[in-house]
This record gives sequence, C-alpha cells and structure tokens, in this order.
Amino acid sequence: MIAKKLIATLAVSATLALALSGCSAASGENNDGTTTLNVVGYVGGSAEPANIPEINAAFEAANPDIKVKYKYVQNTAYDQYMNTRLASGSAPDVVMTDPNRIRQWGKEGYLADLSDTPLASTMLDSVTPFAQVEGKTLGVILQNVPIGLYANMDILSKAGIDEVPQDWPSFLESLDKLKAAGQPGLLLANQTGWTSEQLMFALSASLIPADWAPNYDDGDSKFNPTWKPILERIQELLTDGYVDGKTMNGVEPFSDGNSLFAQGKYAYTIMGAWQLQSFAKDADFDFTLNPVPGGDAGTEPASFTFVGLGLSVSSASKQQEAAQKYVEFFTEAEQYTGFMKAETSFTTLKGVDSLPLEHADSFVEAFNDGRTVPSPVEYMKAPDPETTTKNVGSQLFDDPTQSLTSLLDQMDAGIAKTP
Amino acid sequence: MLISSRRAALLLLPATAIFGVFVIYPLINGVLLSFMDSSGPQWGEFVGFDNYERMLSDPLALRALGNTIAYTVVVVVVQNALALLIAYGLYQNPRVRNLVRGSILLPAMMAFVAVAYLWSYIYNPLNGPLNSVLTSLGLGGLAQSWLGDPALAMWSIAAVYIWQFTGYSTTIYLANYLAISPSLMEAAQLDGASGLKRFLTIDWRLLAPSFTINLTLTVIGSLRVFDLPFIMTEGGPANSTQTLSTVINTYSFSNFDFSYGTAIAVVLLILTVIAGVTQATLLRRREVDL
Repeated sequence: MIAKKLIATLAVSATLALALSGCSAASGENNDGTTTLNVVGYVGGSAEPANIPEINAAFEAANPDIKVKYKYVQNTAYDQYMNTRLASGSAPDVVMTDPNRIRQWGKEGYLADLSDTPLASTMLDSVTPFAQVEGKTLGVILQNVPIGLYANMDILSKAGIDEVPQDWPSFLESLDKLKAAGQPGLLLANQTGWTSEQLMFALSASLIPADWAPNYDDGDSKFNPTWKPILERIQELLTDGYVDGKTMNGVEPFSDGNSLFAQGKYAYTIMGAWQLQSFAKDADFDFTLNPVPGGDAGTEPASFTFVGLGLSVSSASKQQEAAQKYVEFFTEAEQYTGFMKAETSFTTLKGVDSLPLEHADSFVEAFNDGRTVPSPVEYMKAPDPETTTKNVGSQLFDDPTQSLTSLLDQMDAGIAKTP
Repeated sequence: MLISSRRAALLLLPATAIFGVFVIYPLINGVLLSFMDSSGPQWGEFVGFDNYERMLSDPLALRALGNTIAYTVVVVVVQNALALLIAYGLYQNPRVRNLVRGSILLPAMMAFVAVAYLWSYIYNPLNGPLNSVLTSLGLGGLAQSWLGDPALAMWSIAAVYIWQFTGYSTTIYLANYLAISPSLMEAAQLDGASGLKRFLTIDWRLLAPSFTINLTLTVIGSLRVFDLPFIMTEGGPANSTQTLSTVINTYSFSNFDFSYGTAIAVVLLILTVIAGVTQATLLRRREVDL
C-alpha cells in the first residue's frame, strides 16, 4: 500500500518536473487557426512603453489571424534571459536587439538573415551597417537618440549670456561668466562613469576624423593619440575649477543629476533626448537641448546620437513569415512615428521623417546638417567597449592630473580590435 | 517504526533528483565550461587551464579578488563586533529588548534595490542627508564624495551591508544569549564576575554556537557580494568596488566571455568552500572543547 502511494507520488512529481521544465511561451499554430507570435523586448513595459502596446494592438487588428504575445524583460536581465533561450532553440519569434546584440547573436547564427527581404532596404544608409554582420542584414535598427548639452536659458540670461555657446572657447567663457555672476555652471553627474563617457563621445564629433570609429577594428585607428584632444578638453574642465570631478563621481546622473538640473540648480548638463519630456514637465524654466560646443573657435557645434534598439527575427522561429510581417508592420510610417515620438528618437528609416523635437531645434539643425555622428563605440566589435570608456572617464574625474597617455593606452588595451 | 533502506531510498529520490538537476548538474556543467573558450551560449573548444592562467594576469580580476577579500574581512569583523555589542546590550535590558526585537530585522528584510537607492540618496555629495547633517553640525570638513572617491566607495558600500545585516546577526547572538541558563549568569555574578570580565570568561565561550553560525554566514555572504556594488557604483569609480561577482557578471553577460566568467566563478566557489569549511571546522572544535 505504501509502495503504491510512493509510486503515485513519484509519478506526480516527475510529471510536474517535466511540465515545469517544458514551460515557455507557446508559439505557433493554435487550434482555432490563429498563430501566436512571441515577441520579447527590453522596452515596452510600464516604465518605458515606447508605444509598443499600441503597435501590438494595431498589428493584431490588421492581422486577425496572428496573436502577439509580448514580454517585457528589464535590460539588465535581458542577456541572461535571452542567451539560454537562444542556445536551447526556444527563443521568441521576434527579439529586440541592438548593434552589439546583433553582432554577438548574429555571429552564433541565432538571427534570421533579412538581406533578401524588403526590411534590408528600409534603413537609412548611415544606420544599415549597425544592423549587419559580415554583410548580412540581421535586424532593423529603430532608435537613434540624440545626446547633447542641456542648457538652462534662464540661468544663462541672468549671467548675461544670450545664446548657447557654439565652440569650446565660448563655452569656457560662458562658464567664467556664470561663475562671476554667482550662477551655477556645469553639472556632470558621473557615478558609474556614464556622463564622462557621453561627453567624450560628444566631443569626438568635433575633434576626431569621421572615419576613425568605422576604421577601428579593421584599420589603424587608436585611442592614443587621436583621442588626446578629447581628454584634454575634459581635463581642462576639471583642473580649471569648472567641475569638481571627485564630487561628481558620487552623483548619480539619471535620478539625482536630472533632478538637480530640473530644479534649476545648474546651467548645463549632458543627457539624452529621452529626458526632454520629463524636463518639460518638471522644469519651470526655459531650456534647450544642443549639440556640444567642443570644437575650436569659429567652428559649429556637433554631437552624437545613440544608435540603439532594433528588432530581429529568431532564426529558430517556426513563424518566419509572421515574424517578418510584425517587423515590417513596426516600420510602417504610422507605427514607427508613434515609436519615435515615445522614444524621442530621430528616424532610422527611409521615407519616414524625424519628428520635430520641442526644445531641441539646434540639435535637429545639427542632425540635418550632418553635424552629428553615431556613438563611436557602436562601430566597435569588441563585446563591451563602454565598460572601458566609463572606467577611464571616472578615473580622469577622480584624478585629472594623471597622465592622459596612460588613460588612452588603457582604452586601446581594454577595447580589443576585432577584425 | 523502522523502514527498509529501499523505502528510505525511494523517499529520498524526489529531493535528490531535484538537487541533482538544479545544483549538481549546473555545477558540473559550469566547471566543464570553464575549460572551454565559449564566447556565447555555445560551448566552444577545449582550452584546458587557459582561463585560469588568464585570471592570474588579469588586472581587473586580481583587483576584484583583492577588493573582495578586504571587504570580507572588514564586514565580518565589524558586523559581528557590532552585533555582539548590541546583543549584549539587549540581553542586559529586557525592556528595551522587547521593544526593538522585531524592528532590528527590518533592514535585512528590505530588497537590495531599495536599499541601494536609499543609500545612494543618503550618500549624494551635493544634497544628500549625510553631508547635509555633517555640515549643519559644523563637521563640513568630514563631508565626502562617499561613492565617488575610490578610497571610500568600497567602505561606504560595506557600511550599507553592515547596516542591513547587523540586526540579523544580533538576533542570532541574542537567541544564544537567551538560551544560556540564567542560573549560570547568577552564579557568575555572585562570584564577582561582571561586565567585560564576565563577557570574556563566560559569555564569549557560551556564545560559541552563534559565533560559528554568524561568522560562517557573514564570510560566505561577503565573499559573494554583488547587489550593492552592481547597483550603486557598477564596480567604479576606477574599479574600486569591483568584486569577484561583479566581474563574473561583466565578463559573462556584458563581454559574452562565458568561459572566463565561469572560471572566475569556480575560483570564487573554491574560495568560499575553503573559507566556509575551514572556519566551520575550527569553530566547531571550539564548541566541542567547551
């Protein structure tokens, strides 16, 4: 009797274990003839909806035979979530990617080749390389977010500064004027090194040749000595008393730093366009987002854009056609415009214009004039160049008197060339 | 009623199977992966001890190892000393003990993310409460960039961990105190032992079991520290808060260098096992001697 109970218990336990191990979002044909499409992304949750719930609803309305099952996974847990599923062949049909993930997962053969589909020719020529691995298009890049210099126009006005500086000497002059007028100057909240890294990238748009980053892996580009002028600019801010690097290394940029700027405590800060709507809501002063005035006297300011998320189709998906249909739908003007607006992004697609960005006229002008470049590290095939650049940035902030050559050598050593 | 070995084995089978699937199998797989050159979810080629040799010359991994050991020593000593002191105080004051007994565990029940954001705000060098209070007390010279100064960042994070888990250690010491026969303490008092003398000659010896538990838990927990350095500083500034767990995460999930990350994880495992087993053996011997 006891043996029978034991056997029954074991059978139930085994069934449960098998059921649990097999649990995953079921994709494929349903009994009612519809198809379930699994889509996973690191935006689309309540913190950053990116208009994705609306796009999914519109897709289902336009395709009644396809049901979209969308799962949001936090970006910090996304690689852990996806890598096991990709390796086991149980990845979702459509996966959110970015240039780095396209390179890593594309190399392993996890992403479908879209080269012979209409999707391959939807992207702007400047953006297409970020979606390609060895000439094959493995995704569609959708995000191109400006990052630049926010300026509190009210504070500038109080210091007698009529317009946002256009070049580096004018920028330093404005900081001197702000100091003299007892007004707060430049906020570079640099906990984790992110802000110093963004400032380096923004200055690179003015100070290094445009082909340096694209030639990094296959050519002769090196951080030392090409990036020395960039570090010298930042060193100048730190050693001439404009920025207290050690203090700023202890200020978190996204909540604390943005909060300080929104309270009107600083004239300038470096941040992305995703903050435009939040500042518009919280700040009771006039502000603008501008390209960074990093060039020599008489030059025009330039900056960079963060080429970010995109969508790819899993090569293991059994719903290739439906998955491609979803990505194509996402790139249609109406859907993509909603996404761009939610993400405060410039366009990455041909035939879809960028939306006007309130408070960012000068940045839009710079973008249209060709004075913005994609983030230089996004050209690099090393898996995680930003860990090195952020680390070097925080070291420079901690001790701005140290050898810049040594820091540049660290960048060359830490970001392996990957031909 | 005794059961046969066969039935005993059958009864143990479900738990053993689950343990095997979720602990032993991943452990063996992980160790095997550390001998490969996997740069993604695939296994890659066998490379022997290359990953372990690489660790010996990797400045980041070595810095993380040094940080982890130093952090462990400080947290273990300070947390246990504080917990013992507080437990002694609560033992001596039953009324206070009854009031605070529940609340001392509150920090340990908070999620790491919440603790990280709370203390990042407290440590904010520009308008955080810590520097503001110091300044208002005329101690503005002591105001620091707590998470921005490489010389201070790790110890600022250690202070947060100590704040969070001292109550937990205190609870264990206090439980041991309360398990000591009151007649023993009375006898000691009658013999003239009190204060520090009583603590060193009597309390300290009788608290051996809780000391073993607390030391083992704090050593193992400290060696594996990840959440707070990862959330508050991402290992910076200038790698001053990198720990073995944060570099494992960086190499595995940011650099897609799974084999090397796993090799570091194996080293951390060996370190943890050696530390845990050694101190448990030595400390248990002390208990037996008593």
